[in-house]
Amino acid sequence: MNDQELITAITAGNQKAFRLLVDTYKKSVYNTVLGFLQNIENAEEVTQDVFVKVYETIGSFKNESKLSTWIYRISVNQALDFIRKTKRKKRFGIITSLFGDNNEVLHQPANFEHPGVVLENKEKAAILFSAVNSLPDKQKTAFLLQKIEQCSQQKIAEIMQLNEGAVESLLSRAKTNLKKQLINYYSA
Amino acid sequence: MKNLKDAERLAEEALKSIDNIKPAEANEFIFTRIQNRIENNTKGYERVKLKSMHRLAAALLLIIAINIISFKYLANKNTGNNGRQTSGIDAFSNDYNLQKNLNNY
Repeated sequence: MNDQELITAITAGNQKAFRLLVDTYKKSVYNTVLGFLQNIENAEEVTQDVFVKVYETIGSFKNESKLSTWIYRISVNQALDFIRKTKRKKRFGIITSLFGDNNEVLHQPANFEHPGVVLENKEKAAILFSAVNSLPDKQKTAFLLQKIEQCSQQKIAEIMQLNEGAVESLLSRAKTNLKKQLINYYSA
Repeated sequence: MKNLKDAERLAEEALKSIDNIKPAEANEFIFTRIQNRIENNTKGYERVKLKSMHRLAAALLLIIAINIISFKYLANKNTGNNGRQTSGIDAFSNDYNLQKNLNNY
C-alpha cells in the first residue's frame, strides 16, 4: 500500500490501514519525541498524541510533502509544545516551591539515560542530552533529527521547511554551542 | 579542575557518544491506547455536541416564549390604548364642544 492509498483508506475510516500507519511510523515518532523529552512516560504520551493528531487531520494532508515528512513535523511540533507546557508548569512550580516546606527543590531535571546508547557511553550521553536541552528549538530539532533519526540534511530541511544551507548552519551552530557547554562542564 | 585539553577531549567524546545510537522500542500496546484515545475524543465531541444542542434548543424555546408573551402583552396593551384613544377623542370633543359646534353650523 503506497502513501496515497494509505491516506485514502484512513480517511475512509479503515482501522487496518491506520494500524499499518502506526506500525510503520511508531518507532520514528517515539524516538524523535524521546530525544526531545528525555523521559520515557512523557514520550509515550506524546507519541500517542502525535498519532491521534495524524488520524484527526489526515484528511487535510495535501501531498505537498512525503507522509513521513509530515509525520516527523507533527512529532517535532507536539514534542516542542509539550516542553513549552512543562516549562510553564515549572515556572509555576518555582513559585510554589518558594512556599514549600524544608526548602526542597520540587522540580529537579531528570538525568536521562537513552535506552539505545551503549553502556560505556551512557554517562557521556546523559551529559550531552542535558546540554542539548539548553539549545534553541531550531538548533535542537536539526541536531536531534540528524543524530537520533539519522536524517539527511535534505530530509531535515523538508521537515523544518527550510533550505539546506539554513539546516547546515543550524547544525554547525548547534555543535559549536554544545562543545562550548561541554568544555565548560568538564573544565569546572 | 581539568585542563583545557582534557576538557576538549571529553567534550568531543561526549558529542560522539550518541553516534550510531540504537532506536528505542515503542510500547507494543501503543495502537490500542491510541484507539482508546480516539474513541474517548469522539465521545467527548459527541457529549459537547449534545450539550450545545440542548443549550441551543433551550435558547430557542426561551426566545419563542418571550415572543409569544410579548405578542400577547402588546395585543392587550393596543386594545387598551385604542380604548383610551377613543375616550381621549371624546374628551377632546367634549372639552371644545365640537359636537355642538357642528350642530350649530
